[in-house]
Amino acid sequence: MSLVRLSSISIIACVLALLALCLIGIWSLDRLYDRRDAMDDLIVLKGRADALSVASDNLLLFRPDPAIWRAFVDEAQAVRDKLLEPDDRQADARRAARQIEQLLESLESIHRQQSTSPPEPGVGPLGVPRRARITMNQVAGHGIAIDSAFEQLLAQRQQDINRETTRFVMTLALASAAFGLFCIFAFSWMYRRLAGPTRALSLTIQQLRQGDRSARAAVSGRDEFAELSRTFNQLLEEQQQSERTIQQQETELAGQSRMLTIAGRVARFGGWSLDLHTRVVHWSDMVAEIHGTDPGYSPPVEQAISFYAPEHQPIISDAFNDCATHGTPFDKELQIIRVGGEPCWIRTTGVAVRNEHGQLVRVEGAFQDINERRTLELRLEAAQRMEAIGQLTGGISHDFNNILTVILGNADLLTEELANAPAQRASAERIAQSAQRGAELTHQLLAFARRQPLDPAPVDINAFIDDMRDLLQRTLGGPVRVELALAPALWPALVDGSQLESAVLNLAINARDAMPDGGTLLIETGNAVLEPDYAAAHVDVTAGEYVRLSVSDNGSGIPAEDLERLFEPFFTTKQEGKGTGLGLPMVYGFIKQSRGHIKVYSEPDAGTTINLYLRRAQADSASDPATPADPASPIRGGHERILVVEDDPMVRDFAVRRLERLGYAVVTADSGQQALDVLIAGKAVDLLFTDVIMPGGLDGAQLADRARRLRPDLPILFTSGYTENAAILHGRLDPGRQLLQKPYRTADLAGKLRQMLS
Amino acid sequence: MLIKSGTAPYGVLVTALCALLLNGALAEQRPLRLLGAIYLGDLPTLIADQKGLFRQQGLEVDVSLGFSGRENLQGLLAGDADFALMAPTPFVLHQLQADRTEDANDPIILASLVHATRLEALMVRDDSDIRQPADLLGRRVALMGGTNAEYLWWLFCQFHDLDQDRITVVEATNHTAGTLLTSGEVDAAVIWQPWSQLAAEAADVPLRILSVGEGYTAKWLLVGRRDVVRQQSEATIQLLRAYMKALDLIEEQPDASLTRYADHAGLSRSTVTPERLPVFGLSLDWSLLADLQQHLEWARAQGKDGAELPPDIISWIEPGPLLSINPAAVSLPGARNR
Repeated sequence: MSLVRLSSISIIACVLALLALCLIGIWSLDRLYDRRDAMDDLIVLKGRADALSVASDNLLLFRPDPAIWRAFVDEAQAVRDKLLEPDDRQADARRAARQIEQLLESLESIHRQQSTSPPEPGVGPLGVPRRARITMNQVAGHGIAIDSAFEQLLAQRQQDINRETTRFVMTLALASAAFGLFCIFAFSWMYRRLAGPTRALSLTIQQLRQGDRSARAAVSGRDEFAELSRTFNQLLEEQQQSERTIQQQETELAGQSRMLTIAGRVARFGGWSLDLHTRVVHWSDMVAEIHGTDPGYSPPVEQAISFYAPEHQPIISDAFNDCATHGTPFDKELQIIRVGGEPCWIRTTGVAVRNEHGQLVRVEGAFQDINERRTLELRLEAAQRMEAIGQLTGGISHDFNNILTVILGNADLLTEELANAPAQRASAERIAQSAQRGAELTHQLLAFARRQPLDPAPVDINAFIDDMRDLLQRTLGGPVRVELALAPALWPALVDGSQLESAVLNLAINARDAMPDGGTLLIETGNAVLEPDYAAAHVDVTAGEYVRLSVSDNGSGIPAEDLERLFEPFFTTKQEGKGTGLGLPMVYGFIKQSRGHIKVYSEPDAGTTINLYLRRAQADSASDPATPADPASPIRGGHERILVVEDDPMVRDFAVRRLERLGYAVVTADSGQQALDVLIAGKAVDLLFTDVIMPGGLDGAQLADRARRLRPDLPILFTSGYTENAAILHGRLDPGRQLLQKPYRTADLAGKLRQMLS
Repeated sequence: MLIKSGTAPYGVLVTALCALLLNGALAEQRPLRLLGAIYLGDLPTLIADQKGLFRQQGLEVDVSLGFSGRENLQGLLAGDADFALMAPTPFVLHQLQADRTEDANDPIILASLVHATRLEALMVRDDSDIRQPADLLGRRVALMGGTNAEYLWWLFCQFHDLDQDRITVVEATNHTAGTLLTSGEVDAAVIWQPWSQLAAEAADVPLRILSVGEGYTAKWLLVGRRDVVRQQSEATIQLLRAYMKALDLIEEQPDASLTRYADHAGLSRSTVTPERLPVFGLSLDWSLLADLQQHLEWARAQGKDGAELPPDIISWIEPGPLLSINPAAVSLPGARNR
């Protein structure tokens, strides 16, 4: 039976029992009140009977008048009738009534006797006649009997009342006891059905609270409690399953959090939250660290904005406001000024968070320190810009060198031919000089563009610098003192010595210009190892061992805004006409082409230090340095047969004319394939003079390789006005292969040819 | 059952002999012996016996109904009974003549069962010329001496101022007094029920009741032996309870009760009507004391033996048993203090 049904039955039974108890009580009380009313009536009646008794004594002593006698008789009969009323037909009542009748009879008899026989004189101790005393005794006996009857009647009534009261009380007591027993039974039953399972359930909960996760509620029967216990157990299973899942998820989440923290630490990545109600920004520890504040620092939004660089504060303020007002998300890369004053590039993103009513309550976002990346990007941009400039410069120089080659060659021809015309000869020489200056300029551009031909070789830098000391002192002049700080046990450097000399001179001259009132030029050397981290933080730097060559001055220094453009071609802070703006770019291009590294440190009004990192020369880095032509030696010709390969007709014609003037036999080809055909045809050729870059699918290097396979001992002289020859030839020329840089003069060509053919 | 007067003493003697032969334990278990009378005033005894009211109270009572209270008293004194019913007259006469020191066999009043005025009557032949009490002067009156008949006759004379010396009293028993009257051997007879009624029914001439005894109210006493009352107090109380039930039964069923009485007494049922029913009631009150005092005055006036000495009336009564079952019925002075 279900608890609801049992409870309903119990409640109905209790209500019925209570109603029965009430009815019993009311019925018993009603009976009690009836008895009490009857008792009250009887007391009144007894008073009237007592009065009759007294009156009867009086009637014996005095002769009453008829009216009084009649009233006595009426009263006596009324009392008798009252006693005989239907409700009082008890034995005692009837006895009392007959006692009254006997009293009346006796009195009537006495009256009759008195009326016929006058009273005798008094006799006896009290002077009362015996007959009177007998009579009075008789009557008194009746009165006493009446009184006794009344007393017994009253006692009987009292007993009835007591019995009724007792019955009433006992009934109530029994009913109460029955009701109590029923309640005890009901509560016992309720305890067994309700408290028992409840306590068991409570004990189970306590066991669970004390950590006994295996505790389960006992399931007995099929009532609601059993269903509750089953549901409770199922809930426990589901809860514990959920807890296991949550624990697993928390473990995973903790792992992910750790990974995120690690990732955030590595990537310097954090989060922030702006409470739009309090206007306070909560920073993660990483965000605080990026700002240079203590962990847990939570500034007002205005203070958080104040950390940004002044030019970026309006940007971030607008972004905050748009997001907080309209929910517009933002993603900005801006610069902040850390607490220590260092600028730092950061990336900050923000999204609006709404509550369940759609109201904007919070802005949350991510915050990342991108300073390193941004710096690299800037450096990369600069490097790319330099690369682009180099490409442009190289392309222009190639064509310009071809032009200069023709101009310079023709100027040389004119100078020779106009030996007898001094005025025209001077004009031709000025043309040649101007073309030569153009060639030098082109050479500097090519050096900056890292496309000059280099001939690196192991160089003892200490000796190298020491040899340059006098040259430097003479070049810089008196006000500038040259000091050397050369490190012992310096590694040899793999570098083109002539170009390095030019670079050091360039730096020394710049230092001198920065010290117009004189100063000290300090040249230091030392071994250096660039670590991978350093290399990763800089563009186009390879980690490894280097020889550091530092050139320092204590001059005016370089402003920070100029440092980034220091190596751009034609950028100069010197007065107009005092600098070409190609010095430092040439040094930069040379160092980079030498796979080294250059670093500038400068403080305004303190001085500048430029560190050149030169690659350490390994043991097998021996070089076969090309012997430069001696410009002072006279021009010598020959009679060998030269195969000239040149795609530019003007340059080819110029070269043919020069070679023929020098006495050589010339065979020409306008492409690599045509030259190769000549060789395959077996024509006698003593030297191959070829341009490096040529269209038609077979450039100078490829032609040289094919020619070597046909004629392994064939000398090959390359010429190029373009920069790519350095890359093609890897900056180095094998024995039997030489390069003649365009534009070249007749003496250069003659010298190279004789050097190779001899 | 009507017990003849001649056989009753023998029965009592046999019973007493048997009691002597039995040991104490058996004596404890023997039935109570009660002597009643064929008398309308003793109707409660008849009803209690016939209706088994004694047994209802757990009592085994051997009831014997004799002819008068005087004989019952003699049986009680002889040890033939434990309880006896009688009128105050023989009891008072015995008390006056008995040793005044307390004795275990003393009779003691336990209760009065009736307070009635019509149980006794002075009867004359209707054909006689006796029309008023004074007409009795010089005549002969039959009565049973030592009973309430003698006491009633005295009261009658006192009440009507008759000179007893001028009237001849003829000693008779209950039934012989009626016979003497109907036969004309006497002019009047003082008789009580049922003998007066039997005499009237047996007479060839109508009998007339000259007086029911003005100034006389009959009482019928339950008397026990002092030792029995004390030793068997619980049985005594149960006996009184049985009488109370009998009284209630009579009041509730007066016709049936009177019919039983008529059948037992040999009366015609038509002559026994409810209006003749006396007033029954267990009591020990002032009316009993007054009645006993009046008996003492009678005894002194009549020169009865022992009457000259002042008696201790209160000591004649044992109110304890009745007091324990019906305190309201006991109004004797000092009864509750005893």
